[in-house]
Amino acid sequence: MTTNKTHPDQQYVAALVANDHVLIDEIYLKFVPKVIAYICKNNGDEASARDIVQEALLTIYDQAKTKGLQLSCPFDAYFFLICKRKWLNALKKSGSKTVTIEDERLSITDDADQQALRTQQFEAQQKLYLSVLSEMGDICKKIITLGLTAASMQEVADQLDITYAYARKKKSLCITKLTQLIKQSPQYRKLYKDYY
Amino acid sequence: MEIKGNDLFIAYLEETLAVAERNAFEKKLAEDSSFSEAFYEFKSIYKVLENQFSEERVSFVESVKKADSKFRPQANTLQSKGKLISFKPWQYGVAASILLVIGFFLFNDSNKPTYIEYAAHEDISLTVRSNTSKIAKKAEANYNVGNYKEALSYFDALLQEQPDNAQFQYYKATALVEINRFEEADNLLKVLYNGPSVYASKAKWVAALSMLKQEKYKEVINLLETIPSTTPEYKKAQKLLSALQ
Repeated sequence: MTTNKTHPDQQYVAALVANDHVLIDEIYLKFVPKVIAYICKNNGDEASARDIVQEALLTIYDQAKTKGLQLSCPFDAYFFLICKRKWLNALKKSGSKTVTIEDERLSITDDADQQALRTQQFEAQQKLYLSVLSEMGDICKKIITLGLTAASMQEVADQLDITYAYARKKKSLCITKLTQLIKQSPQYRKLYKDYY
Repeated sequence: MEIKGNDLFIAYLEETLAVAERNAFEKKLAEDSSFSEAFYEFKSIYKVLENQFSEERVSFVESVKKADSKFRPQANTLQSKGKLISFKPWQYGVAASILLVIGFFLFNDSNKPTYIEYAAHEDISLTVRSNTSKIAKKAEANYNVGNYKEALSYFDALLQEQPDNAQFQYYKATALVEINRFEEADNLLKVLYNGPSVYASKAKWVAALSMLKQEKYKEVINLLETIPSTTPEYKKAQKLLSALQ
């Protein structure tokens, strides 16, 4: 069962959002070695483990930044579970035989399991949005990418050599088209329901 | 109909609605459940995409990469098992010959110091007037993650506002060196190191690095020898000089 109480380890999630170098270093010192040890014991090597760690941190950052992730369990177990699931998925994709050796130093609670699952669901949502975007026409891709960064619409118009008014209109049309395509995708409803 | 709806959602999320429109929007959000449901669904997609292309995310990725290399063991202990190659006896001879050839090239070339060994750019934080702070932030963000080409367009925009700003000129020049636009960089640096600004000795150091990157070693020495001993650049200039001589 999940509880609503925020765990003191929320500080690590906040540190990722704030790009706090000191606490990011601390995550590397305190939590990453366990993940590397686990992956190395399960058909992996250190280089793959480091890639998984970076991906996991980025997913946590994305979720916290866009959905306001509130941690109700220790960061250690939550982070380990995310990395572990990512690694098992990678092994599955590559067709390797998976051998799961649990790390006994960690106590995985229901809370950690639930939170890691939600992060996984968030990641699936995010992947779907980006894959739909990648299938759109070049102009829409460009205008959405540029228009959603901090760049002003005037800069976007200048870069694409179109008028300001047209850039604004096109951005709105492209975003509307993108959201329609996302909503039409077969996986969307399930993923939206899972997360909300 | 939906286009109109999304226009309104985008304007609200980008905070471009007038106060009255914003208040009306928020009132509708509170009162109309289907409107609010449509908005939050749109927002959940919009926020994910907005984050995906944000400069903050680029900086975060950079920080994680830095932490990763900081806590990485020495290169020789990081080799994955799969990359180990077992040699048959005859292959040792071949390997030894290859090593000899590599060694010849290494020793022929590695006596010269390289740009990459000396060009360490610290993260920058620009001092700007409030009307240009947004552009400056973009310049900083791109420069600090090594997107020098993008940073350059922002330095140009800043210099359009303040053409004589030595700080912007200096960072523009370092970005130009990074992307190998040497002629423009060298001209700009020359103006800076012949001028009275606090960036004069820094500019001379970067001018020397630019020459180093172009392998014009004589020019590197000429520039380094004129860096005054009272400046912070003197020590590294001497180090590079002794490596060159």
